[in-house]
Amino acid sequence: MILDVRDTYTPTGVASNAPTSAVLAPAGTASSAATADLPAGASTASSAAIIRDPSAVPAIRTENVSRIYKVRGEKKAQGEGSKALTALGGVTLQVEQGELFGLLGPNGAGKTTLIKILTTLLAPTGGICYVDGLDVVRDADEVRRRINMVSGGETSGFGILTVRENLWMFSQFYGVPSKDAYARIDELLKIVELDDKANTRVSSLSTGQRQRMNFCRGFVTDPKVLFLDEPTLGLDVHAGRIVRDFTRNWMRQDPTRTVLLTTHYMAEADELCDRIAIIDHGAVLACDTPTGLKRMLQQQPIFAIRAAGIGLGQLEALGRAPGVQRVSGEPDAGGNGFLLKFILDDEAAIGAVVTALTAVQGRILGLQKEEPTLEDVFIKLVGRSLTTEDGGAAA
Amino acid sequence: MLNASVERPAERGLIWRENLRTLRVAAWLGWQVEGNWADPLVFFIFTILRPMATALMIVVMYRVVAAGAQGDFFSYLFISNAFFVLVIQTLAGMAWVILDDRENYKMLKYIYTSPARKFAYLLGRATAKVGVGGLTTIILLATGFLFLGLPLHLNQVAWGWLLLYLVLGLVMLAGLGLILAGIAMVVARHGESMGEVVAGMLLLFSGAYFPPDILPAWLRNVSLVMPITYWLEGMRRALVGGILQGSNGPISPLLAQFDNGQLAIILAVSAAVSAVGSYRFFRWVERQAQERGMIDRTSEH
Amino acid sequence: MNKHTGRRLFFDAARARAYPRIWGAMREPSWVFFEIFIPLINAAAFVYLYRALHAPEAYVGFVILGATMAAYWLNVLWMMASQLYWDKQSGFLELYILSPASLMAILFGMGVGGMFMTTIRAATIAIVGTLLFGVQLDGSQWGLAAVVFLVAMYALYGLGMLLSSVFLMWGREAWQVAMALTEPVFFLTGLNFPLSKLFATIPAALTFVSALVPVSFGLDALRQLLFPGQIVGVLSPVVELGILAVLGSGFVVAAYLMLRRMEWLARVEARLSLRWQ
Repeated sequence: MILDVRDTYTPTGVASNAPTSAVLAPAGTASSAATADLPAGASTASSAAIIRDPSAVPAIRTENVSRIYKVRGEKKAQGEGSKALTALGGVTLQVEQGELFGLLGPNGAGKTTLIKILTTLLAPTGGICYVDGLDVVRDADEVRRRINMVSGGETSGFGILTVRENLWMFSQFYGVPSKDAYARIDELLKIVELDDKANTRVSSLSTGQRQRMNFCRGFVTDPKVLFLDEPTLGLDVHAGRIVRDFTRNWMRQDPTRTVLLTTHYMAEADELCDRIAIIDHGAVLACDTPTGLKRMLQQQPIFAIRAAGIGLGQLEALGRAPGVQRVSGEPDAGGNGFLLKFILDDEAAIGAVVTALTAVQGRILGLQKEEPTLEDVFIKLVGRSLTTEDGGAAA
Repeated sequence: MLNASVERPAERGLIWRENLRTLRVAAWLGWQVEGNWADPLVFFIFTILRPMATALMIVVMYRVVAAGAQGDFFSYLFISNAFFVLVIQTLAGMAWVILDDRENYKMLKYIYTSPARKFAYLLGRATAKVGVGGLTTIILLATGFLFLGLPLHLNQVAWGWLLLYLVLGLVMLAGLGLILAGIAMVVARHGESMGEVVAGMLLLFSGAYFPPDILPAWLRNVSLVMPITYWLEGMRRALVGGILQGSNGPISPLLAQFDNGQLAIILAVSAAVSAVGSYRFFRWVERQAQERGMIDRTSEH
Repeated sequence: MNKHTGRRLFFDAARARAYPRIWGAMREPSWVFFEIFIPLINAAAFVYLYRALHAPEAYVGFVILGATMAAYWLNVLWMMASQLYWDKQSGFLELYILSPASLMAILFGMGVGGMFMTTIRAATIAIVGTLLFGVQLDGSQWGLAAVVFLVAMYALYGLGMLLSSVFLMWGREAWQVAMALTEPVFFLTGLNFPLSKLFATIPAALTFVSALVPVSFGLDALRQLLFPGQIVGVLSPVVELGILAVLGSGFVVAAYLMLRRMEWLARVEARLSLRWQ
């Protein structure tokens, strides 16, 4: 496995380009020791007994792929060259057959750009990409026979047709014989609990129902590589669970099936993915199993402190306390103070944190040491949480 | 807390200010929307070329039969067609505001949940369409005069009547446009076709291309109850300074029965009825739309 | 799963794409009113204009025939040429390109479906208009007229495919250009008057543009065959038929080449996913 990691983070005790055992060994062996560290009830796709053939062609391979957009309509200052936006800056990844691979990153990180390149919708401006051993640019037609994509939040559909008819129509674009297509459609609709709507016009469906229909569209054609771009976006809890369970079971049925999943939801990535790449500003910051990523932070203790009398303005001061690597904060959900999360060099640094809090007139309401979560890894690497854009803050 | 006697004058003043503000902002928005073209060439094509093509089509139709003669019928046809553009832009334009904002921009619900005055918003949004329609009309008339032999003489134009008919006509058209906009609010699927139906009906019954005298008797009556028929006749007369004549008397003996004053009265009454009626109708339709959840419903077609 | 490929996949995809056009339209009976009544009303306005001008009665027939062909032109412009643009708006275009089916197959299906539904509309307009206004047709050359009609449709829908590849690259401008091509084409193709009269009036360059739109020669040939002796055609119907056949083949080939090129360019310039605004 080759990964491209920014210089801003060097995991201690882990070689930055060492292959992870999850790539080559049967799933379950590498992570079985790590599962003891995970919260009770969590499971990973790695715990399934899937044997992967190490000699198989990788499902997805990118070599230094980049995508730069020229920004149109911007007024140029004299002497200034045309503006360009780097959506992807030299990403190198490899996803093996049978993997459920996650791409985690904030809005604008480059996840969807990468998926669009891999699904032949967008040409890269540099580098090369392969899906199932085929060049996505030169062999686009052949690539399309083997893939499918589902974008979360997608509610498109021919309103005048029924659910069944919409799905049948798209199956025909993939050459699925009608008899097979109808059988698969009925099976899929039952799984996503839309079977009673099979003969209902799409214009009469709710948004969530349409999303479930579009989710089925991705599986009707039995792709070898499936791209799920935030598939549970906008779905309720129950529907989200159906989607996740179905994806996992679908992969178990055939070890050559591969899924590339992008998501905003940490828990979803943690639950589903064999490996996760964290991407931001067009670059992969880290790539490992969920357990491996969390292990990066086990050297650094994490403390959660609920404090009153402070706000976002004091975060910077708190971040400067000796021994503090990162601090993030958001208003406490209970409306009772501010919830701060500190990643420290070592446990002894907690004293300095308490001193710093007192110095900014903060009152500690609660303090506890936490096990690292994927979100902590994300904050560590990206510098903010996925919810930061909405209301929290980081320093 | 303000007491009741102080509240009312301030509230009235506030309503007027809100109306003006909404009108101003909506007019600005309308111009932004109408002018949001990536290329001025596309604007030219849409605003000038399309109406010009229609005008040229009827010119050729006329010349094919009349073998180049440019009698009063040519003036009748060309002037009517030029003002007909303004009619359609105003009527269909207001309905399009509802459809555009609801279906394409999906912003109508936000307008409705804001304190913006809805009537003023529609009028403001429609000003750009009326402006564009007016510009097209002027360009068509100028083209007819300069290149196609349209006999227009500035010293023959009855400016007073022209201005009066124009003002009354715009009020009348705005009212009718508001009625159409109201219908568009509660019609889910066929809002876009509605404009075409109205345009087609008006083309047939308003005397735009031919005098209503040509129609069978039972259709002629439809023509005579439409205020736009009288408006087009008024605009034609004002521009050429009199009633247009055919080979055996007025081109439209039916309409020639009405003198300018009578036309003005008909238009004034139409404008008043249309303004008051459309306001009441629109308020009623808004309530219907709220009850039926039509304000933010998209049609899927 | 044994999926179809090659020619089988082409026809699977075309059939699937034609499906919503045909069956979807059947489920919306409102088209009977809107797509027949509106063209008839517009045609009636031109019929009465000709009657006001005391034109020969054959001109009424020209207008009805023109309204019939206009239905096809509008279908080609809005339901083929602009369709990929609308599909881009709705997110379908990405799904089409993602699939192994070619865009030509998708467009072919759109064309077949559209032509089927438009034929029902056009036939209704023609029959109702003929009966309503008492049009007298000469049926002695129905066979040749039918061949001219079919070849004109082949050329027209070929042009639709070509235009769709061009519109694929454009944003909101595509919609505006489609609107811009409505009335100007009505004028340039002699929808309401003999083409020869138009050609005598306009510059030579415009006659060339007119000739490129299959409606022009299609309509001119049909008028000569159905109203013999009452119209002077630009060329004989047989020559016009040949031109239409050549045009059609040229459009289809050009459409194929353009579609591939435009799809490539759209991928390079990231235009496949542009939404409204």
